[in-house]
Amino acid sequence: MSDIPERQLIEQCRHGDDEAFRELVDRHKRLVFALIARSVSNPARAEELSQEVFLRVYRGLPYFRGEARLSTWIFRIVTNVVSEERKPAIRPISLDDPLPGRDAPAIDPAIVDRAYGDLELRDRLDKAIEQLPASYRLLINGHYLEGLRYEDLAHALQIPLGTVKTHLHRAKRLLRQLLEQEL
Amino acid sequence: MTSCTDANTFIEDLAASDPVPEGIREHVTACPSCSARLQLAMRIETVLATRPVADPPAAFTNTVVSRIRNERWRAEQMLDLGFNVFVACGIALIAAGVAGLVWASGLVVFSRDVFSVLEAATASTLTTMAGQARTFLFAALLLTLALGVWWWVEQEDVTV
Repeated sequence: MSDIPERQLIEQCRHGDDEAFRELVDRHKRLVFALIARSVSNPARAEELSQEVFLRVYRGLPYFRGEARLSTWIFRIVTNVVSEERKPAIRPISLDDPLPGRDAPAIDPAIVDRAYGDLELRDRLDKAIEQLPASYRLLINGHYLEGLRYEDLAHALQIPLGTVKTHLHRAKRLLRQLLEQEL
Repeated sequence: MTSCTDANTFIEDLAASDPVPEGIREHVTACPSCSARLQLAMRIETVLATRPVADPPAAFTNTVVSRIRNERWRAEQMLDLGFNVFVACGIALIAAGVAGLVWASGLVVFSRDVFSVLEAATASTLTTMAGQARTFLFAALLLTLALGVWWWVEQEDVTV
């Protein structure tokens, strides 16, 4: 990958430079694909959606004003593409549903120790993530990806930056409580 | 005194090593149930942080650029088609206008004899050409084949 500044790259893409757009895709494809692959179970469909993201980037470049970073804008497009794609087979938890924590029964530590090996925990966690509301799912899927910042997540979800961490903790709490309900 | 319900709210903060209100940490340490919740939260944190990162296929960029070129070519084709239709409509309008002017000027009456002469000349020419029909048919086939090959090559250029 070259060191062309982002603004110059965008201008070259706007002038129809295919090599500049190729460079743009190479810079962002890994994060885009990783995020979509975590949101969609079918790898082939993840690839199609990732391509769709970059097609929308190409079509939207003439209208990109440059007020935010390009990566932030791209992740907004990723959010839209994933939202349009997903039709959950099971009803996701609503953000208005009261958290079960207030009346949650105490859990037996022994049960927790016996219940989850790492692989099984990973599998149950994947299923629990499917039940999260879309915004929480994006936070969980995107938070641990190297290169994705709180600012990108805030802009993608159109929430204040300070709210991202709060929502992330709330999402993780929901995940834990979903797993606890299975015990 | 801190309750389990109060402590439950801060389990994720503890798992992420974030600051928590006074008394929460002590309660979680002393309470087996809350301690188990914290253990689960920490394991969730570890699993989330170590989830595999899928890499895009090797040909991903080429595929994207190819799709964009294809889309651009289709857009240009539609533009060309629209332009050609517009020009054809313009020509048809002009021709209709000229025909209308000719009709209105009375030249048609005078032209009837000219048409008879042209008709006779055309019939004579066609009779002569009929003898060379096979040559003309072969030439037309060659021209069609050349145009088809050219169109196919253009398609190949777009999809590469």
